Amino acid sequence: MKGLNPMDFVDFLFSNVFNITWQHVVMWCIGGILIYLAIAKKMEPTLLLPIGFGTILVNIPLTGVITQEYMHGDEIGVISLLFDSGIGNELFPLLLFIGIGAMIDFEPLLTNPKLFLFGAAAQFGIFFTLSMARLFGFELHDAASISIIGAADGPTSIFVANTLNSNYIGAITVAAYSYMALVPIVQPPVIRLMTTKKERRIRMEYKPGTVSKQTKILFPIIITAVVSIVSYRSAALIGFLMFGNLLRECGVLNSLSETAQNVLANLITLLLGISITAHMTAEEFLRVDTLLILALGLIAFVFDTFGGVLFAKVLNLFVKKKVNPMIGAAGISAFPMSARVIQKMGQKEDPQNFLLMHAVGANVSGQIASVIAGGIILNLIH
Amino acid sequence: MNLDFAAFVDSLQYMGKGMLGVFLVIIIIILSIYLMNFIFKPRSK
Repeated sequence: MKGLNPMDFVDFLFSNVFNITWQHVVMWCIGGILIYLAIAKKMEPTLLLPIGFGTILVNIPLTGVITQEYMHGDEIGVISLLFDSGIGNELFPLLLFIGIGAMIDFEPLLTNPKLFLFGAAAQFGIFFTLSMARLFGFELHDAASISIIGAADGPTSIFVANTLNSNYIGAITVAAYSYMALVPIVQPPVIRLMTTKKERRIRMEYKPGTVSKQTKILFPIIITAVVSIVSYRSAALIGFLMFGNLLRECGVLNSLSETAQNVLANLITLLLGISITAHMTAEEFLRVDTLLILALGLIAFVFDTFGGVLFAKVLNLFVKKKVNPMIGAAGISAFPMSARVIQKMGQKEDPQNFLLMHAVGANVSGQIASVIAGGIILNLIH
Repeated sequence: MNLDFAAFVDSLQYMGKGMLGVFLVIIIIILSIYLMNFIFKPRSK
């Protein structure tokens, strides 16, 4: 240190402090809130924790963790590199779908395939939100990307938003995962508003059927073929989801299935979270549009619930055995949160009412229906 | 902020086509499941 002027040294040490703007500080606070929600409130911690930490990291000036101009050219940042090689080519969301597919037991749905209809009806929020986003002036590709928050499924939201080259992928991801975690708060008021106490007390008989092993194995293969042919833009999403399910059901790859459900899913979620923060910079995130996207995400979840419940009520006009309309709300893809919410609400009205298995069936159907909806959005717009 | 009613009305076609598309694919899937359940009946214990 001999010969170095102390003031120059202090200048050198703290020079970056003067590059910090109030926008960076706001982003640190947002990162801090996400970390708080992940740890204290246990809201989607595997994703919100890396997003929160990454948000703080990418908003420290001149660190080089995201691509930036340095000296005479661009310096490639590690988080930008992760984004380009994991999300820019849709790799991470698809790999995560293998894990999700391995986690889901489709048996309640296979024993009562009619529950699939609720999964379809509960995608209404996606298409309603697309129109609302257009009303608020978003370009068609951005409106479609925002609407897919209503898929209530993180990988699908990221996949569609990235394929449509949306400018708002960071905000869309945060909204999608936040509202998924908020399902127990968002859905009950909408359901209560749309149903009478008498409707919420409707009991539904559950006959535990059995499904053959052949059906369980053929299901993921046939679903992949059918969906890929009809809604061809869904092929990658449905293919990876169903491949995961085939790992689970084939019976000869149990250790791989467990790895996919736990290690693979956790690791990819972590990488997905940290990579997304490449687009969580103050310049990209702190816009009025971000608040609007968060509001539209809420609209998407509310109208998903509305669509599912309304469909069940309409169905009740034509069937002898009445359906508890709350089951319709479980048709969103947020699994298993939504099914639990319905079971809890049903038991609150009538402690002897067991809706869980019906709700689980509708809920897993929502997983497939949301992928189909994502593919149809891409078919229609891309 | 300006509200774009023309874009809103124009986008309603996506709502119609999208929901119709989702229901059609789902109905095909339901029929496939019934067919599989019919062909591969579980063995009675």
